[in-house]
Amino acid sequence: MGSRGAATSEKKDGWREFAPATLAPMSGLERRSFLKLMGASLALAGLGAGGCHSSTPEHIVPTTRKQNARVPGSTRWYATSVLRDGMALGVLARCDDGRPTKLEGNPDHPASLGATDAITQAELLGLYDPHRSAIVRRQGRASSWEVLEDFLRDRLAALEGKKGAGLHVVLGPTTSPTLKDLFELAATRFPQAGWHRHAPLDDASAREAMRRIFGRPLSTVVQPEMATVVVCLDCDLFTEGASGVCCADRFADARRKALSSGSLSPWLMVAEPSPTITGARADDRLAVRRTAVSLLARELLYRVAPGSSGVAEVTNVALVGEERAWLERAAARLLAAGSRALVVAGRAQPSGVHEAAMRINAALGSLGHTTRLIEPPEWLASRAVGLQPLASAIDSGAADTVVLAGVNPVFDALPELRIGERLRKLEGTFHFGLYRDETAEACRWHAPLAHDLESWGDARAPDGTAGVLQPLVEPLGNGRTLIWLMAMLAGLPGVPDLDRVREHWQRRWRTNLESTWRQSVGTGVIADTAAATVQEDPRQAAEASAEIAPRSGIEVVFDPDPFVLDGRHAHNAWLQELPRPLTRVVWGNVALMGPQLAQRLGVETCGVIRIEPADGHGDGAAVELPALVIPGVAEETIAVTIGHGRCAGSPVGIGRGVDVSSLRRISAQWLVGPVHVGVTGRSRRVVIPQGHETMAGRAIVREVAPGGVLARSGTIHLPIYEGAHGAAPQQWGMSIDLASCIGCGACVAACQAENNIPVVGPDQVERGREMHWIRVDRYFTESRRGAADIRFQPVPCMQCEDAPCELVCPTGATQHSADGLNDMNYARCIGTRYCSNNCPYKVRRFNFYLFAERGDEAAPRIQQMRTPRVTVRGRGVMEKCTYCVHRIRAAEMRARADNSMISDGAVRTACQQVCPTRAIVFGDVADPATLVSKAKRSGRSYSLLEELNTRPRTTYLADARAEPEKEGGGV
Amino acid sequence: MSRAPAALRSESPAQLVRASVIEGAHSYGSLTDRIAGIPLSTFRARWWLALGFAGVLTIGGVIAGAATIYEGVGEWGINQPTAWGFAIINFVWWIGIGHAGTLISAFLLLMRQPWRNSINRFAEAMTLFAVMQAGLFPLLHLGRLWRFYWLLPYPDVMRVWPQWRSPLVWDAFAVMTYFTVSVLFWYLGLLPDLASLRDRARRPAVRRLVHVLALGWRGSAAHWHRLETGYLLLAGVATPLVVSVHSIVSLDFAVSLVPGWNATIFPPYFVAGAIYSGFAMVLTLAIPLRSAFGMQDLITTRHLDLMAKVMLVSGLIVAYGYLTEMFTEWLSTEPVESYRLHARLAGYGAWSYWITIVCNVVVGQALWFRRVRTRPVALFVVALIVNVGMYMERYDIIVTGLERDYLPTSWGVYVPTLADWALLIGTLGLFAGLFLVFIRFVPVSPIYELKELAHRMRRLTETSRAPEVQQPSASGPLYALVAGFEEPGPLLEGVRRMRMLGYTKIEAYSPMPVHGLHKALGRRRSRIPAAALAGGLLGGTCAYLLLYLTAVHDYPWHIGGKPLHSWPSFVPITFEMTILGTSFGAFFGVLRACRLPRLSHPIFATPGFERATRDRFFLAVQCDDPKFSLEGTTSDLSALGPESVVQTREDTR
Repeated sequence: MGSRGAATSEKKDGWREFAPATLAPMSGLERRSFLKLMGASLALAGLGAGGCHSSTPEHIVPTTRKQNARVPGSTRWYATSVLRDGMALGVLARCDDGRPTKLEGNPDHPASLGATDAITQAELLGLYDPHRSAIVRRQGRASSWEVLEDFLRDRLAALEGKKGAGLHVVLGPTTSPTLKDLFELAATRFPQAGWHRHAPLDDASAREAMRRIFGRPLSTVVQPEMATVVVCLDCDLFTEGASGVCCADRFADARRKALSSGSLSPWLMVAEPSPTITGARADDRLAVRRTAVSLLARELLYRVAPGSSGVAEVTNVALVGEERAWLERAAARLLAAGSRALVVAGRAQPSGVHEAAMRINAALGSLGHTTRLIEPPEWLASRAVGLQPLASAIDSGAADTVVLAGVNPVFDALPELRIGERLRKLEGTFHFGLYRDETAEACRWHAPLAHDLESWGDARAPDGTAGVLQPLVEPLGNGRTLIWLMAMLAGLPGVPDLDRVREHWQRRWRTNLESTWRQSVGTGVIADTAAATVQEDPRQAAEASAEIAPRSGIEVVFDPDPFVLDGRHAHNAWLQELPRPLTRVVWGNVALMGPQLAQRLGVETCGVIRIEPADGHGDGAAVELPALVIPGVAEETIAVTIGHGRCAGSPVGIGRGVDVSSLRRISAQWLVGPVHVGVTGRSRRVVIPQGHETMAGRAIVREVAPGGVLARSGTIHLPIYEGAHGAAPQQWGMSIDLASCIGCGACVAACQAENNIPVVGPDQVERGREMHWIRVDRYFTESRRGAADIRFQPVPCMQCEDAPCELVCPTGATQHSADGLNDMNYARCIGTRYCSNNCPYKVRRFNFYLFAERGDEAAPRIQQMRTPRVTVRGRGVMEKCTYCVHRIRAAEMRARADNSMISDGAVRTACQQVCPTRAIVFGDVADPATLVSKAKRSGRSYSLLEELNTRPRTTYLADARAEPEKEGGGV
Repeated sequence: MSRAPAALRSESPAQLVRASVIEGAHSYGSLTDRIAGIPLSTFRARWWLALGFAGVLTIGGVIAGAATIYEGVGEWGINQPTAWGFAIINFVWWIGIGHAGTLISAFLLLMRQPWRNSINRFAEAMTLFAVMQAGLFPLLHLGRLWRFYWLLPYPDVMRVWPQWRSPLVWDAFAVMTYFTVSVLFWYLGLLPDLASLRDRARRPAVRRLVHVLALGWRGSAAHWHRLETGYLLLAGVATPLVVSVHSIVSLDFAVSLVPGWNATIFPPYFVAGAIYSGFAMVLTLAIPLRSAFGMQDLITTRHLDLMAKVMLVSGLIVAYGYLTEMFTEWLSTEPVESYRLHARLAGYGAWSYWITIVCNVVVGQALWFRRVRTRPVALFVVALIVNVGMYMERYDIIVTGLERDYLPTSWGVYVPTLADWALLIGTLGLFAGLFLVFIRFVPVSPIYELKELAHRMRRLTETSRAPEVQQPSASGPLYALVAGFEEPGPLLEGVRRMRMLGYTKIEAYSPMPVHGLHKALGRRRSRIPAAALAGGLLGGTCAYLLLYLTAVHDYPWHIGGKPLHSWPSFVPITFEMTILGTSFGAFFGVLRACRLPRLSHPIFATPGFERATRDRFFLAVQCDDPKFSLEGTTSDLSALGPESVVQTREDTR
């Protein structure tokens, strides 16, 4: 922390866009200043880039004749992928007039299945972010690609003589086959060079466990849909890694199918230290200390496979009350499920837990059923080393040239490695990245990297399926790709990236048929590239170490932030402002703790606590951050998220939250304990847009037993007036299945992207002025076992038929359409805000300021990102969800052209389309055959606040949860 | 509501005389000189100081208002869910205060309560200024202020009309009607006093200005008769108007779904609250005013006592409203309603509720004690506390109601910002400033009504001497012979005598209405009531037609599941427009019948006629009367025993 702080203040050259004082801390009209900063940055960036272009004005003449195959204003879709730790998540990008304006899941892609998560949605803002690095810099001063190229080429040529000794290359995880080819060439050219892989969210312990069991680091593909019992040992199945979306999709699909026959399958059991969305969905959740999970895992292995060598029963003393009960239930269910059981372990757990999980799967015979073994699609892990050897090489003077690409170890490597300090000692440091981040500031050279959506490339999905990445726009920030860099390292002549990727695949296919290429690029998926299942038997286990973690003192557990992850997305305002699923916190991080610990410490939410490691690393290691007290956190556990407290990159992310990495150790990345916790007595704001934690005794999220039917309140609908309105033949409605919703927040991000919803900044959120049209409410309810249950409920506009908002609008700015939408006429709104007051669901949002900053200098690039068919709302105007009415109208026009009705599923709302669990169904409620009509006929269907007789078009399907007496019994 | 006048009526006129609403010894002249003298005297340092202080407060409000307009309503503490905050509280509070003036003036006039006369002028002025403050807020609070006119019907080329079912549109109509009618009512009552000022003013600029504003008021018997008719008509429509305006303001809340807003008790309870706070504000102003200008003999402790009694009664109605609200919340057993009940009593927002209860209900009970009602300082303190309490009541309804509504996840906190406070304080400053300007430029009490009252109460013991003004007699052709009297009795007698003698073209001029004079002159009843009726019918019919045609034919839209012809929603605006039409009919009927404005008239050339607005009663016989002869008529007039008989010659200069 200290060294990074110094790094920021050290820079004093004229080319910094902003003096540090301007950046943080922002106060007063923070949102405005920050949006203006965004604008100012763009202006300067443009200035810098302007040097590369011709300065004489050139005139172009628009044609009045239609270009072939190009209809102005029409929408085109392109398949590509965005990468998460090198893994591909396939998307279809919607391009309006050549500008990507929305990302949707690619149904053909195995990691997407047509859905995406919130982070993928926000990649769009990442693409257009005016703060992205746009110029090559040498020691902070503007340089150019040509200069860098010459310099680097000379330097590499010199290194070639030494066989690459002294050259060190740091890359992030990658699955790209093209890159692998180039890597091989470069490795041949520089046999002595050091290749390093830096992955802050690495699954190293899983690899280690696989190596122990199978002799080599195989990867697993989990198939929860095949299971009847899923046991997660501190594993957030629905978000961890790039397979979260597909896991959530398949899990929810299996549950829906089972529910239709009245059962809850797969039965989900989760043991975790702090609540995750997987834990919230669990049928049987245990809040347990992270250190105790290894006890659970070993005991579970002992129960399931008592014959396994090296497994001894853990003494009853080690597991206490509720833990033991949970263990008994888990063991019973696993044994009953047999080969249809699935046990998974999380990234934060040591390899022993992963090993136990895999051995349970093997012992139950579920290998090949609920979990498949494949050769790892990520190839760099086996070819590169970590950062520790780099640190030693720099210290010993062996390293003189360090190339870092797409990584930011100065911020996200563990501080013990003191990477920043070490890099600063060197002359030949080159950083390639999206932002001028902490690492860029520590290096002599910095050059912009192209965004995934600007690049040609290829990548594999977690199951090994390869896909081609195609650029949707010319690099906005003048960036280049990793393929370019690797070709440079390999000493290849300059060739467009496209040629390299195409050449690679045509070589593989042994054909240079254009049609094959077009087919692969067009679908985003290269046929028959999924990894084959590896049949491998586990080896005999070695003697398990007898270490039993001490169960004393307060332990701090670290997890990546659900949205900004390890900090890589800290500059993405959509993600910063997206309420974290469990805590609802935005724009920062907190020390999460349970009520008991908080009471013992004498701290309340917002009270600042000071955490110091007990191993006495001195004052520098202490961290102060505000507490947030919620139920569901394990006893004596404080959960914090990493990735906050950035100190370089973009004013959006700088200074948001607290960097807690000084507490982390190489030996214990995800857990430190015992720690000293002091209460400072000060308090700091925790920005949470949600008002209250519980349902206050009201029937809001309703639930039924599986196969059960909701008790009908007997909807009262006594029309005082006879209806006199013409109705359209198609009537739109929505049904949200609370039994499927996992509360991941993807719908919120998708809606934000689709409907041009502005970001307002932490100050405005704190003042209750967030703009999201759909929100995911989270409730804590009293659990049947005394702990807290967690419930999620997405709340968009309910499109009431008897809408209270319409009645009170003095100008008729909100009216009912003939097809049942509660429309907003933004042009007619004068901003009395009465509609918002009168909305019992509080789904209307008001532009208290000119949040969209239309006409401001920040606008040009951000404007290009906007959905052209959705009005950008000005100041003083109320806005709200209208079921993506522009999509309905577009479909209507298409249907009218065909002289037909809109078929079911032809219109999907943004929230529906993105939803990984397909919890949202939308369609024509006038037609009894549509999916939405069927959902509404379900015995689980209900209207929120039905007693108000607003007759919402959006209804819910009640959550299905086990009745307490049925628990603990057989499957 | 209906209890208040009953309580007042229980005192017979005889008792009123005994308890005498005005004290001390007066004459027509002294009353005129004292009250008209306040605006005509020089400005004192104390006044400037007060005005400066009010100005400073106002400037703060102006800056906050400018910032709001420039940046947006985000400058305020409002948010989701609390989309309304101080602005709407201020609006309701000010409009409530604005109810006392018209109520005192109109309602007490209808009830023939003589004690209204000392206080009605400044109470009405207070109404106007309070409504001005109130009117600022619905405008400022709009997200897009510059589109405020979309609340009003105008022939838009897109054929877009307001949404008539919205209480906010009703509100706009109600408040604008209320302001307009209050101005008309106030101005009509002010005409004779402006004439008094005109005839007293020394500085030519002031005289010329007041001359125009007085529209040429001459105080003839016809003028008085028509003024009284029109004034009574206006009072008749202003009284239901007062009730309707705050009822409609209450519908802004009662029509909605918000817990704590949607209560049917709201209209009567809001009206009672408005009277309560309005009278509190009248007392807050009257008590310092009477001591500042030594008007204890005109605004007597009897006045304070009576106003305190009105407060007591309206306060009890308000307390009943609170109880009813609680009872229905308890009775409903709905979780949202019972949460609201518990929150108010001992949970979230209980502080604002209990401040309201203590200020409005507990402190208000002090008014049972005569010692409190008659002691100005004690009464002033109680009135101030009630003002605060009524503000807190609106805070409790608007803010805490919104902060805790249906879905707990939406619950929020409202914290007023500096701009919110500056605007509230700014309107207090502007209100005070306007009031200070008013007391220096306009007679604070209706002089002519006080003269009439003093006459009736036999309080005219002192004789006053008017300074004799030597006016050069005009040299033009003869217009009339004018006899001057000191008392209304001889004038009335004189008129009857002259009529018996066969004179037809005679006119009587008096500084106050003299009852029976109109009849004695043999004039017909005026047609002003017919004009008012026609205006009312026209206003109401046009309004309903407009609503019906625009909502059903021109701009038919599906709104909240309601039929296009939602007639119950059309009632408020139709009602307001009926009242407005009636008021216009009455007001312009008076002007038409009086042939006003007419700035020059031959009678003004009568030597000493300026006393016609002070203390002299004139009988004029025009020279075009068939029976007129200079000698004969002079002797006929002299036979009446007047103080003087003079010739009026037309001013040909």
